[in-house]
Amino acid sequence: MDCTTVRTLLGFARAGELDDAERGALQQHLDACADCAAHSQSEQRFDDALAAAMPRVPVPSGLKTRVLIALTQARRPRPWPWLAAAAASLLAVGLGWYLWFRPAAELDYAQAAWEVDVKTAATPEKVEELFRERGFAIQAPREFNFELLDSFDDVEFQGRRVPRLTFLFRGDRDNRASLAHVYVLSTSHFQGQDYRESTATHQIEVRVRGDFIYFIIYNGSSLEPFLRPAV
Amino acid sequence: MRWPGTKRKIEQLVQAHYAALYRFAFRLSGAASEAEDLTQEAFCQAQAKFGQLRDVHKARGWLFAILRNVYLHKLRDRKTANAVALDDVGDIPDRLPEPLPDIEPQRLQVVLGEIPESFRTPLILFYFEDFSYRDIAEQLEVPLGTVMSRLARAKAFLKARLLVPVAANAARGEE
Ligand SMILES: [Zn+2]
Repeated sequence: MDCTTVRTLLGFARAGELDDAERGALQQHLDACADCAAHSQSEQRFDDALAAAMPRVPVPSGLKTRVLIALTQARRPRPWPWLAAAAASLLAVGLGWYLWFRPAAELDYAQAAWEVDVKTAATPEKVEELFRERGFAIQAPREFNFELLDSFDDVEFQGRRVPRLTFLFRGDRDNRASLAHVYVLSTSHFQGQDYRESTATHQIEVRVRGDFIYFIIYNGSSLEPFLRPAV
Repeated sequence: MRWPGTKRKIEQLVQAHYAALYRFAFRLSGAASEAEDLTQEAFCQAQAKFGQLRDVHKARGWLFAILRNVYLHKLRDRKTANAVALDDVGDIPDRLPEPLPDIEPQRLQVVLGEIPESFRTPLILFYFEDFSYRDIAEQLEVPLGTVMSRLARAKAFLKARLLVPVAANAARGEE
């Protein structure tokens, strides 16, 4: 076997494409030919160096969570049909300052991956603490009945990540469940004033409380069922 | 259509492969933000056609192939501005310097960016993911011999660009 053939066969050897006889012959040549042996070792060292360098890529933190969220979004493009309708009608209205809250395309109804089982943790204080751990200093809407808190997460809202609390009321007199999303907006990011709007499919209520604006969108006839019973 | 259990299975795939897929995407595209987009898009497509994954042991290769297709799709709109002819490699030392200098990951990325995609992908797959030549041939849907020759040329290019002294690179008018 000549040296040129050997150089070619080395490539096949790396590919694992040599049979026993070919491998034997190759090894025999390498044992006898210092040049080819050195070449082979040199190739091997280069392979090792490349194999070491190639995967050295830092993976951004939170990537897995973001992938999972993307998958959830892809699974449920329209998780709440009535809310999608609401978003569309909001666009249609487009009145004054209210444009601030034009949520149509930006509203993100995906369930964020860090939703926790709030059945064991449903107090305003606990929710505030969990949001604080995520970097959101918020004041939870204390007038709401936190026993009805179904989930919470941070979502995209008008170009910002904002906390969102979802309250679920299972059945009123009509025996229909209703849902209230409360977006907790900081007054340093958004301007707004108390506001109320009612359509056939949903209600909007904006409540300004100190440094926070609660942008509430819900179905059902009244917000009353979601609120803490007056003592 | 999906069937029960898909959600859990796809999440297991994410868990097992997201980091590798991201690294592959980064080496392909050379940019962190693009790599993240590619990773997300690849998993979304995988979810949508999860039923096509016949053998769960081949999930990794399947995901990589999906990601590459996403990448190629995006690439089609753009010119591969940096790509040079692979023959333009200059002198390749037959013997490498002793000891072999460490290959700096960022420098590697620059040189990878100069290699046409059809050569770059097999190279990344081979060194990064430990896919066999046969796996790569299957994934790229090209003959084994093609994979081997592309790998050999890409590797020669890398060797010349990575191991020649920095001064020589500077003389080529880059960086
Ligand atoms: Zn020889």
